[in-house]
Order: sequence, then C-alpha cells, then structure tokens
Amino acid sequence: MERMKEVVGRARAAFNSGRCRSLEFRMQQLKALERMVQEKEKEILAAIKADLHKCGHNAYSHEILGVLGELALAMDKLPSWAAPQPVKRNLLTMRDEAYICPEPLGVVLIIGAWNYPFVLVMQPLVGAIAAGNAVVVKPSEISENTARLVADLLPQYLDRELYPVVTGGVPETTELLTQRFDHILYTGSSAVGKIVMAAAAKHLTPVTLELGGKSPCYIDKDCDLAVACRRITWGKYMNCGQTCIAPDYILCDPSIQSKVVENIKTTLQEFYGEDVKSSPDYERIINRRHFRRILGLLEGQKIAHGGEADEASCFIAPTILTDVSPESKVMEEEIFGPVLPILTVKSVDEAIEFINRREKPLALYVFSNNKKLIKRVISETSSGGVTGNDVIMHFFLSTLPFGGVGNSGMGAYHGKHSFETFSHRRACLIKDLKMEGTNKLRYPPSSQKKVDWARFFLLKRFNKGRAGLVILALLGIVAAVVVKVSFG
Amino acid sequence: NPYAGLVNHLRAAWLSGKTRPMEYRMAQLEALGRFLDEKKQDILEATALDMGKPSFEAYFTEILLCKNELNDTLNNLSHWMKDEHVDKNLVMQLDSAFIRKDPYGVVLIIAPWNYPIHLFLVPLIGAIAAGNCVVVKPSEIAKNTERLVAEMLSCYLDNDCFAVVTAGVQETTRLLENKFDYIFFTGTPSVGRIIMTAAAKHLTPVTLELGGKNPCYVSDTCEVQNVARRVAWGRFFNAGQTCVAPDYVLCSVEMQEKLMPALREAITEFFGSNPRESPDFGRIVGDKQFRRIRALLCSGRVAIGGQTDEKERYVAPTVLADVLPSDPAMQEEIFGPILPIVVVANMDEAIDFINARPRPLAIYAFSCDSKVVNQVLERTSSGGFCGNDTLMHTALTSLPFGGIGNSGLGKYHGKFTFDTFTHRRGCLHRNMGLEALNALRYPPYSQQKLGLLSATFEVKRKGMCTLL
Repeated sequence: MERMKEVVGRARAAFNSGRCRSLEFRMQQLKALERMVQEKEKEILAAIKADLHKCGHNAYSHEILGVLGELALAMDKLPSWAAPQPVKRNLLTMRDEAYICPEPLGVVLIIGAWNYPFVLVMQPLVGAIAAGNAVVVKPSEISENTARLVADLLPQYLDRELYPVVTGGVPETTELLTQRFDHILYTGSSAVGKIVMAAAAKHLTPVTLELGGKSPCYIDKDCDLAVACRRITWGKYMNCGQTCIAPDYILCDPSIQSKVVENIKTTLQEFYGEDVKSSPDYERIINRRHFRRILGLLEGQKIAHGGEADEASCFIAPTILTDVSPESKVMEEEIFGPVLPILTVKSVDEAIEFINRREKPLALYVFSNNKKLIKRVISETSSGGVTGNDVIMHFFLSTLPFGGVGNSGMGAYHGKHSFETFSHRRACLIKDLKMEGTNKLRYPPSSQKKVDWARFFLLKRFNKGRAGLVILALLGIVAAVVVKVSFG
Repeated sequence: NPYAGLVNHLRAAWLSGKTRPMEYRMAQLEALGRFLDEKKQDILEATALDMGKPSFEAYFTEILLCKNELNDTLNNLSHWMKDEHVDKNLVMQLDSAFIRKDPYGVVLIIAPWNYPIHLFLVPLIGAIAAGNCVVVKPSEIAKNTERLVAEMLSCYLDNDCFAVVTAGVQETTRLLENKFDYIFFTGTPSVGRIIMTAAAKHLTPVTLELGGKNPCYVSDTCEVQNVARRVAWGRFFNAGQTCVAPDYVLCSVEMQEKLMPALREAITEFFGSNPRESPDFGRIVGDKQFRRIRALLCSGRVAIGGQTDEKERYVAPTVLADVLPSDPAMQEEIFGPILPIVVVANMDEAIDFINARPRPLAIYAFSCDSKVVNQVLERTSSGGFCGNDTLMHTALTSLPFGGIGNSGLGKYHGKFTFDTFTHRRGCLHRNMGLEALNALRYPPYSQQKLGLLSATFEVKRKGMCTLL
C-alpha cells in the first residue's frame, strides 16, 4: 500500500519540476499517445474483445475513433486554449493589464469504468495532459485485459513519472483515494461517486463525477416509428446495453406500444440476424455478477421479445418488456443490460411528470415530428444531456459538454471542456506602480467627495456602445486629472 | 429535520417553474437593488455595530460593489440565458446543437461575517439570475447584519422561492442534512471540508471560497511610498478581516528598512496619529477573534503599532519586522490588522517560500520591473494574482474570483456567478430524415462501413485533406 504514496509522490515531484508546463512537452506527449493508439491498434482491439466480446469494428468506432479525434483536436487547439485571455476592463482598470491565465491544477486522478474501458481513461487523459498536469490513471479492474494493456503500454510511450498507471481493485483504489490530488475525474456508479467525493472532501479536491441513472426515452405518437425504433435499437443494444447513456426505458402512448415492439424486433433481425448469439456484432455481459443481476430484473415481467440467456458465456438476448409497472424492480436501478422496458403514458404531460419525479438522468431522449413538443420536453425537464430524435449522439459532438447533473454527476468534459476541467483559470491584474493618482480615491481619510468619485468610477448602469467607450475613456482621463489635482 | 418543511416548500415552488421566466428573475433582481438603496443606512449601521466597519468601506463593498454586480447581471441576463449554439461536425450539419442553461433547483448560500451583505448578496444575484430557488444562511457572528437580513430581505423577495435561515453551528449541521442542488460556501478551509463531506452524501456540487496566507513580495526596485500605501490599504481595510488581504510581506532586509518609514507614513496619512480615533479604521468582530489576533503579536518585533484594547476589540494597525517562519503570525491566516515582514535574500527565495506552502487565494508582487512581476506570476500558483496593488483584481467583474487547493474550488463574480449556478446541458436536436446516412453506424459491421464512418467523424489535423 506504500506503493500508492510513492507513485503519487513521484508524480508530484515530477510535476513540481516544471517539465510538463511547456506546450512543446505537452504536444510531444500527446503525439506519443497518438502513436501508441495507431501502432497498438490490434492489441487494443484484442483486449476490448477479450473483456466485452466486442468485435473489432465496434471497438474501433466506439473506443479508438473518439480518442484519435480528441487527440487531433487537442494538438490543433492547444496553443489557443492555453493562451491568456484578456478581459473587459472598467474605468478604474483601463490602463492596466487584466487577463485570465489557464494553469495546470497539479496531479490529477482519472478513475475509469469497465464498459468502455479504453476510451473512458484515454479521453480524460488527453485533456489532463493538454492542460499541463501530471496524471495518475486507474483503469477499471473489472475489464482486466484492457487494464493490463493500458498499464503495459502507457509507460512505453509517455513520461513514466508524470503519467503512472495504477492497477487494482477496491482496496487499492481506497488507498489511492487517501492521497492528495488536485482534481479527480471518476466514471462509474452514483454509490461509488459519493465515496469518491467524500474522500476528495478531506483534501478539498475538486471532482468531476460521470455517473449514471435511468435515461428515459419518450416516443410521441406523431413520429416516424420505423426510424425512431431503429435508432433506439442501435443505442440500447450496443455494448449489450452496458452504456451509461443508453436509453434505459421507453415511455409511449399505449396505442403505439405494440408497433414499437414490432419495429424493434424487425430492426434486431436486420442488425443481428436470426440467431443473435452467433452474430459477431453482439457483445456479452461483462461478468457473472452483472449477468445474474440483469436476469433478476426479468422476474414477473411480460417478455414481449427475447429473454434467452446463457450463463456460461454471459449471453443475454436483446429483450423487450411491455406494460411495465413503475414500481417494479426493473424500474428501480439503472439496467445496464440488453433489457428494454416499455411503460405507457397517456400524454406528454404525464411523461414529463414521470421523468421529473425521479432522479435527474445522464441523458434524455425524445422522438417526435413536432419540434415544439421536443422543445417543451427539454425545457420542462433536467438531465445531463439531450438528444432529440436519436440516441447517444450528443456524446459524439465534442463541442457539447458531456456530464451529468444531480444523481447522474457533476462537471463535464470532452473537447475544450476537458481542457477547462483540468485547468485553473487564474485571474491576473497587473497595475502600474507609478500611477498613484486615482488610487487616492480609495484611501482614508474618507470624504463625501471621495464617495461621489468612487460611485462615478465603479457604477456602470449605462449602455456601452463603442461611442460610449470613447466618451468613457475621455471622462476617465479628465476625472483622473481632476482627482490628482484635488487629492494630489 | 427542522428545516425539511422549508426546503420542501422551496422545492415545490421550484417544480412549479415560477423562477424560470426571465421577467421573474429580473423583477427579483430589481427588488434586490431596491433593498440596497432603501436599506443603505441600516446596512451601514449594522456593519458598524458588528465590527466597527467604517462607513466608506461599508458603502464601497456592501453597496457599491453589489450594485455593480447587479447592474452587470441586469444588463446581460438575456444574453447569458440564451442557448449557446456550438460548432458541429460533418454528420450533424443539419442538426441543431446547443448548450442549454438550466437552473439547478434549490440552492444554499452560506455566508461569513466579514463582508456580511456582499458575501451572500453577490452569490444570490447569480443564483436568482440562473433561475434557482435559494436558501440564504447569513453569518450568526455578525449579529446585527444577520438580524437585518432575516427581517428585511423577505419584504423584497418572493417568499415562496427565497428564504433566509438564521442558524448557529448545530442548526447549520442539520440544515446540511437536507438535499440541495448546489451549495455555495464562503469561510474557512476546515469548515469547507465539513460542507463538502455533507454535500457528498447527496452528490451536491459545491463552490468553496476559502482562505489562506496571501503572500506579498516586494522587490528591491520599486516606488517605496506607493507600495507602502497600496499594501497598507489592503492590509488594514476592514481591520485586516479580508480573505484577499496581503497576509505577510516577503522582501530583502534593505527593503524592510525602506518600507518601515513608508508604511508609518501611509498609516498616519490614512488614520492620523491615533488610529483609534479615526472613523476610517475598523474593529475586530468578536472577543474570541480579538484574543486570537492579539496572541500573534509575539512574532518578530513590533515596529509600528502593537497597541490593543480588549473592551473595544481594537488592534492598532501593526507592522512586525524580522518575523520568522516559525513565529505564531506565520502559522495561520492572520485575518487582522497585523502585517508581518519576513526577510528573504532574493526573488527566487521568495518564490520557493511561497511554493513550499499551501496555495493561497491571492498572490501579490510589487516591482517596477515587469519581468519580476511576471516571474512571480509564472512560477507560483494561487486563486488570483495582482501585480503592483492589492485587492483590486477582485473588483473587476470580468475576472473570475476563486481559490485553488486549500483556498477553495469554483469561482464567481460577474457572469461567473451565473455560470456557477447553471447546469450547462449539451443538447443535440436531430433530423428524423436522412436515415440513410445513419446506416453507416448500424450492424452488421463491415470494413467498408468503418472506413466511411471514420472519414465523416474524424477530426483531422490541419493541412491534411478532408472529405467534404
């Protein structure tokens, strides 16, 4: 266990040496990471396949493509992201330099999850390196092949002291969390999220928690059901339902429930053929524990499709449940498996009320031809993110911040948002040591005259068009002169 | 739980959607403006009773700066509330992609006693602007101001959506057992830890504005009289009870020699020959705090001031010379009108001294040589930084105000307050048509599909050819 203290201590010493501050160094590390992903593509895909029975194409498009995209973006934008940003000044500070300086936080900890074991450590890592930090990476031990691979590969390509990989389970992670970090990004369950935040509180460490919840999917009567169901099927059953933003359950009018079931069945056939089990494109449940948990959710439910399972291979067929009751077990926890409950609601009002009675989800989905209805659902609910008329896709636009709210998490990342998550935005004001004139306004002894001048300089009720600014500047100079004469 | 009823009441108001329309928020903010205008005299009197706050200071920080923030928010709210449209990739060109500004819900603001109106009001402005319901818990240590806020704020704001809770330590602990959707806390690091631990139980995001010892480096090349005035002003404002006050000075032994008479002159300029009689010098807020500060006087040697009066809770503007890192004044944030000078050999030693300690809320560096100021800036880390002055970086609303490490997490002022109390929700509104394009992502998978998918999704490095 002493190992954790050493590893973090070494990373801190390496950070304090200052070598990861320069943009050149960060670019060099990011380029090396890019080389790693390109050169070791086969090994990465093989590890993911061993962990999740995921075929190469799927693994590539889910895990590798996204990472390469983030790397390219970060390398392209780093100079502009890291540059100091000048800010608007007021009359008092008109002659001063005022800007926000993005700075590294120090040593950050990234704890990954097992469902997308590669991308969920790599994507945050890209942002953390770009922001100039040292990073301790802790991949999930449940996806053990990918964890082992990451532990092998990272030291071959990156600075070993600055970016160590720590492997292990609950005891090791608990020990790791006793160390002081300058930011922790955790992806996983809400229950463990609370533990991570409580540990972080001891050191006043800011956290980004990417958690989960039950992401609702409302299907309006007025929509192209074939298209909607195809998109939902894709998002629900990818990775065998083990996706934090998978549509967890469907809300729809009872009159379209059977059509929804039919459309999903047809799509499943299109995607995976007659015998799903033999399709190379369908994944497996990560382990026995989750297999049994998910199977347990089927008890007492009306199975409209699927339900077949094989414990030896952790296979659960794509399953649809109908007329599900809100109080049933399958509606209590995040399913995280290939089981899709359909609950009926009589109107969009009922759907909105249903959603708002529950914890805020990570994602919310609504399908409708009626733009106004979609806008209404978005405005009257809360969630980490939203995709209208599709599922999952908001994850793939890096200009959108990706994160939760309430029980589904706090903070966000992806693209520039990663850089900002892992940076401290330091306010900087540089004044002239020689110009003492207007400062006299604020020094004691006080007087009504000084109060009036202070109000003039500080209050800004008026509209500032360009002409306004010029007048303001002129007034400022006049005022400064007058003040210097009166109080000089 | 004694506060469950109150929180439920606010939550019901929140769920009704009352606080969402812009007109509602503007009306509540305008009402806050009237509170500041109409109760100005009461505020000046209450803060004078609580800590002898000079009326100029009270007007400046509790009224003027708050009105500034209010006006900035009123001027810009409609712009801040708008959906922010974002750049899209190739596949999403026909979709609508934007960041929606959602309120969190029911938020809690816990304020300290040193700037008792400002430090709840400025966060409150952002919380209301962002569309939340708010529970405000002012400090029980500034008793008169607490009473004023508890009695009078409810006359201005909608009582369904905004409440003031008066509570000591025990009651605050019980208040924190309730679930809030955001907690904004200003105070000490030790209480900050307690707040964050309580927040963790409900996965409540927090902003913690804490403190530390803000170092002030004075280089050998500087305008000594100007430095003395600016440092003295920052140190003795509110009798030193300011989270961003320069806590201690680092300089060479020669500069200490030059600074001393300059500081003496500045103090006399500001407060006269007997600061006790000046209406412009404050008092310590309570007996416990007075005794704590008095104990710090046995550090180094008293070069200026040092007089105290327990009845009045008066501590004279004091400068201590030749203070050692092991002295009492260097063990905790001073939060009083005492300025220790610690001698260092040169700038490098000053920087090492600063970096060996927890990261402060602010760092100050004085020099006529801009290179020196920049060196201190670049080689240290702090919440904020001001070159050649003290405190002033916190008065510019376009600069974020917050700490790092032990001095806090999160930031506010100006738009940053609005952003603090807003959940930025990523939204993608797609087209139901063009399903053919989606075929690329559906199983059964093939190498061909993958190639096309990569081409449409990938962000390519500039200078390489892209598929358009």
